[in-house]
Amino acid sequence: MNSSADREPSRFSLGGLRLRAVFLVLLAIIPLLGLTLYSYLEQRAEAIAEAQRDAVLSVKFVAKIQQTLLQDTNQLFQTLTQLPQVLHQDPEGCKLLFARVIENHENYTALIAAYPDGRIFASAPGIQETINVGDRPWFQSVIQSRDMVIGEPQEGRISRRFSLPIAFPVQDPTGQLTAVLATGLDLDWLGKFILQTGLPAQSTLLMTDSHGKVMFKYPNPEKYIGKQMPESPIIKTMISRKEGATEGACAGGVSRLYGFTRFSSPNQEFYAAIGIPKDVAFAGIDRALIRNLLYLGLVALLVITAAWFGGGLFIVRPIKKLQQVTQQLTAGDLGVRAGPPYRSGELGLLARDFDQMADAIQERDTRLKQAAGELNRRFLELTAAYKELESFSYTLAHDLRAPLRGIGGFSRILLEDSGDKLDAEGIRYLNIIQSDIKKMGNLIDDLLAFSRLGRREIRPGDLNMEELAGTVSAELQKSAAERNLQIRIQPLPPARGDREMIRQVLENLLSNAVKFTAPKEVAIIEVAGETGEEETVYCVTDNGVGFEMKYAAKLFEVFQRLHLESEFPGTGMGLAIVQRIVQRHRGRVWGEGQVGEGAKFCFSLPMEETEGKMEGWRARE
Amino acid sequence: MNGHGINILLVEDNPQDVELILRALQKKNLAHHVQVARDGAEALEILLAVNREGKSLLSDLRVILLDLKLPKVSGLEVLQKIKNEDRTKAIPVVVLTSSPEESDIRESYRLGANSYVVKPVEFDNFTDAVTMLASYWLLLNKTSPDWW
Repeated sequence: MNSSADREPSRFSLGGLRLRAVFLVLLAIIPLLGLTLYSYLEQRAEAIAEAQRDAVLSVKFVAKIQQTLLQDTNQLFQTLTQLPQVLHQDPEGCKLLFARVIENHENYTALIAAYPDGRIFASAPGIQETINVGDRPWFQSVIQSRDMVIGEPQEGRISRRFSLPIAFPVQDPTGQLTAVLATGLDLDWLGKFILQTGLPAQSTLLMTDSHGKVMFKYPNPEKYIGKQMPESPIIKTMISRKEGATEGACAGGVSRLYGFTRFSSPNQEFYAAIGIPKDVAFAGIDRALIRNLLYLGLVALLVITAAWFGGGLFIVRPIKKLQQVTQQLTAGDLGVRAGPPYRSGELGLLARDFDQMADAIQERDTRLKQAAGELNRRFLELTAAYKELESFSYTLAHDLRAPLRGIGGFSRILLEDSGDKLDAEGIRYLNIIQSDIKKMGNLIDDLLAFSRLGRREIRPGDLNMEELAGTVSAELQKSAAERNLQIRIQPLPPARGDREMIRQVLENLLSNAVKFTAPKEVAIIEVAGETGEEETVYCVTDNGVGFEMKYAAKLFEVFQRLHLESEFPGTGMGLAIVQRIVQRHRGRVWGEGQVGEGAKFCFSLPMEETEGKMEGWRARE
Repeated sequence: MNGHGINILLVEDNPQDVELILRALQKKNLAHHVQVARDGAEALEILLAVNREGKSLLSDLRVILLDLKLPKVSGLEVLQKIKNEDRTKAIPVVVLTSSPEESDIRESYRLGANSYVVKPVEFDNFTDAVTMLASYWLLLNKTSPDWW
């Protein structure tokens, strides 16, 4: 495996099977995530509706409390006006009475009694200085209306706490106004009381009159109470819709869900709203969401881990095994197999198919090896036969020549040493022996040369045929100086071949021409060449004795002669050697002739051997 | 000119060839100092033999005429042994054989042959070749002064 590290995909590469498995798992988790989020949003919407319902219920409850408080206050005042201390405007008795009332009702900041001119004659808690409340709007309106009046919220002069002033007229039996009772409904207490009734933390409480004036606000009453805020979106909605739910962000930017309702005191209308922070409303489902996401993440992690290791165990490992086996097979171990046993599924099928392929390859390899073995055996046989032939040639050369030399030598010695004992006929016989031995020697030499041609390696080179023909011609001229030879060498195309062999061809053809023109007074021999389409043709033409065309094909056979040896000496090997050489150069040889009209012998050399070099040749010239 | 020892070592298995060569040498009066070995083994024996004083028997040897096709130890092996042996490597060796094979010629020179001559079949040529060889190596050629 280490050897193929460069080919092994990194564990974390995008193409890795494991990563793909993990990717699939992630893909499967996406719908779950979507479902979770969808259910969350749905729950959220539900939570909003629920919170709004809660807020409306709460606010209704608050309105109810408020109304009850006002009714209680009304009853308290009704009762007080019947008491003698109040009826008789007894300051000391009233003080005692009021103190007891305040003590028992912590929702009141103070309780006072004033003369119709506004002077306070009794109060709880007690005050030292004399205070006149005749200028207060609620005082004025109670004198006019002779009924319970709820004033505007104010910061108490005595208590320094926000309170809602409530005033009530005291009348004698004749209906004459004798005094005014007033109390302050402790708004702080109210706010705290309401908010303690189970509303979530950071809830707000808002109360306005029908004109949008803030009667009460909790928390931070001091910032809003008494302010006219009809433009505030919540107040606007509240006044226009009387009862219902809304949501919005108010001071501080906290988003809240509001429930609002309308309630009334005997002669006035009020609006109340409770705002619950959204965070609080959503806290439960947000927690649920986080929990769900956490679970989902945990499950995803588990599944991914399972996919990672499972993928390794069930996918990557078998594939790696297969890969390893493939590499071994590639490396030449044809016996290696992926199984059995085979896994189920596609990977198992793949392994099975792989093994079948390996079987096929192995079988083919075996057949190939057998064929190669057979081929090699035949090659060896051929080589052996060739060696045998070579040794045969050697035998010819050595063992045949040695006795020949003996015969020649000793017949000669006989002639030299005992020639005087022989008659003329005996001496003639010895001379015939000498002459035959010379011929046999030549035959052996030619036969050997011919045999060597078949074995010798061709060493190809560029040949200047004109120069080659010139050299051969000059040698022949010299050896036949007594003859009138006219050897004409035409311009010859260059050739490519084994210099020594092609020289032999030219020599054999030219010497034949010289030999067979012997009866002529003037021997005219021409060497010409022509470049054809596929081959270059060279011809040697003479004006010699010629030959009968029906024997043309026989000319090139070994030891074939068309003339008596006494006429034209030779072994009959010359043209056979020419044919052998030209054939080994993949060329052709042929002869044309007519008895008494001369002969023409041609050979061709294929172009592909010469073509590439011709340009170079011309360039040099 | 020549010492009294052997001038020519002729390594030749064919008795007819030996006789023809000796006859050719006799004509030039050179045959008295020829030693003939009939095969390669004998040739090596003669070459490597020493007398009682540890001196080579062949201190007057001028040339070895060596046939290639020999029984027992072939001519090429003899040639190789001669040229690999310090005591004999300076002796001129003329390969005198019937073989005109290129491979034989090439191999002989590679092993250090000083000359290669193909035995002519024809008697006159053969006689001429042998006498020319002997004259050259015995009369003209100077051998290394102290090869032995």
